Amino acid sequence: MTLSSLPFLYLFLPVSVLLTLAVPERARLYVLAVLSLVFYAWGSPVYLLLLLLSSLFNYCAGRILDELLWNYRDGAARFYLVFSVAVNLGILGIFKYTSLEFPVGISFYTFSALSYLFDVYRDRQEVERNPVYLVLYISFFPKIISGPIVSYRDWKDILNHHSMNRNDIYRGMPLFLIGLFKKVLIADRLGAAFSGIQSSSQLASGTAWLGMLLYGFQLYYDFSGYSDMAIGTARMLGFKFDRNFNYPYTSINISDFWRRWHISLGSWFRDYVYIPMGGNRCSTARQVLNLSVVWLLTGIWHGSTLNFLVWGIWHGIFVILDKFVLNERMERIPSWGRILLTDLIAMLGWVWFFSPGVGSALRWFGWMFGIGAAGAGNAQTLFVLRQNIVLLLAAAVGSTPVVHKLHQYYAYRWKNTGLVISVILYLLLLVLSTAGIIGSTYSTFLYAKF
Amino acid sequence: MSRGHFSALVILYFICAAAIVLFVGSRFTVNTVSDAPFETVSEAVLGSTDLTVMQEGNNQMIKRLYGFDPDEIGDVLLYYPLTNMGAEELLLVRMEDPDSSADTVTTGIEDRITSQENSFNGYAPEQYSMIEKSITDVQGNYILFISSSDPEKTDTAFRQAVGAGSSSGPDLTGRIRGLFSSLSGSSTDSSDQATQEGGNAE
Repeated sequence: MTLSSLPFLYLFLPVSVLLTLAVPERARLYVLAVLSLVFYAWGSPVYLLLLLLSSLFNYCAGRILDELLWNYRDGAARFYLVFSVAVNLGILGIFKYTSLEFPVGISFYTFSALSYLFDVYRDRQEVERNPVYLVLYISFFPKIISGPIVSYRDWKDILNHHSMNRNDIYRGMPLFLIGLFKKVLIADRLGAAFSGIQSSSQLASGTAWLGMLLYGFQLYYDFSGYSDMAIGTARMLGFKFDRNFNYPYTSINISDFWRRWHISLGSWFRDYVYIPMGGNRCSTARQVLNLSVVWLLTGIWHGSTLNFLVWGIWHGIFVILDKFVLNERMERIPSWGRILLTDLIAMLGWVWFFSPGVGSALRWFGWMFGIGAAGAGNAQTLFVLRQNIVLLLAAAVGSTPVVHKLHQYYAYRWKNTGLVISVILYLLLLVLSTAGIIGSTYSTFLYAKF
Repeated sequence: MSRGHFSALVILYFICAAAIVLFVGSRFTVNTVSDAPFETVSEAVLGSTDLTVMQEGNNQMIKRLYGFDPDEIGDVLLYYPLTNMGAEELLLVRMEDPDSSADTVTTGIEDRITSQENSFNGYAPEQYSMIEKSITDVQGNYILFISSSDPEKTDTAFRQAVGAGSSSGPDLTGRIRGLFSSLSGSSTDSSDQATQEGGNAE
């Protein structure tokens, strides 16, 4: 069950919200834990056992670490931390890099579990004494498939102040509907157009560039749409998560891009890898090493094939160049130029990302720059352009804050009328998205496979 | 925390670790049977594959290309290239009796891959490369063979659709036997050795 499926939309989500709202305050987190396990079992019953074992294992690990640290037995605590991290990463590695069936959400819930262990070990957070609450943290259904990866520190803060009322539903639902719209009516259409191009054995340069743009926007709308749905669902249940995307295609450099794209993963690597290695409070050579490690790990996290590693290196190189070489020079370029340059780097990076291997990616780059291409443009280029120009332009505009600002402006200016129009627009999004789901054959989230 | 409580926690911790190892080990040997309807799986697979360069094949074509009779296997769906120069192909099989049919189907697929590689080797490098990167994925009673520009996408949809219907597996004895044979390194008759790519990735 995905967040954009009809059973979730019209059964699981309303039942979850109403049930959680209906039970007494002290029982809500328990109800949510059960609902999360039901949600996971719905799509992946076999791996529910692994999720439960992993949760119990990490619960015990947290309690043991806490006890050992309390008694100043640092050596023993370090042993348990290393062993626990090894078990968590071992499970993830086996499922991710062997031919075994991939349990849904394992990359995301493993990183949540590691966040818990690191936070407890570094004494940043009080250990979780209620095993059900830890199960809820690891398996909370809005975030288990594709994040956002909420750190335990932030989760504990949210949990300590958890409350749920109708206002949360009013605030979460629009975000959910925007995410649904992004996924079903934009990302899936971009994806259909991209699939048509990707299956070609040879492309004209223009078509290869169009394909790159289609995929770049598809990934953005797919993943940010999912994140909006996840954050919106969580909000309806009284959990206020930070945003996972902040208009990344309006970034002025590649470091800025990564502060706006998949923010929760970037934060995780910053908090648990980059900063513990010394962050930027060390020599330049050491900083370069730290950044290189972070970007290699980011590439490896995304997949086992070499193209993901190259994709990580690609971004690592530009982040390092941006930080140490280009920083001041870039400031001479006007903002719009820097945004376009950043988008070009990010978009070219997606070629590594969507290609099944390094060879395919190099072939695609070759087509883009005229090597082995079927000319600069051909009938397919014109066809793809004609079919998708409106969609691409809408996607480009929608990836900036313009639409949001316009909505805010008119909603504020027109007051009650604006509110009524907003409600009608959101209902329209729901109707159109539902029609889109019914009309489509099958759709999954791109990031679910990571 | 009392000493006894702490000891219990440590024991539970290592029991969980051992259980996780056993569970993961069992996944290498368990032959999960999916209850997902063939229509659901085929819809998922077809919806994630570009079919514009393929045409649907009938039982006769399946016999010709793969050498087995679909009526003796279960449900079979074939999409094969529109022209001889195409390498795009999709075969989806749901076996009534995986134990007796899996070898027949996988052998048919291997022969088809070899035949296509021989056809394209030397003069059609892109088609040859596509066949090399094709995916044969055995998931219990389902088998997918996909040769396309993005076989992973189809395979992901396949796994999700099949996984959604996975509910039953072999009995406990079978699981334990499979686990021990896996741990001892002896060969198993597992048909869940998923994703055997036709060739090495880059």
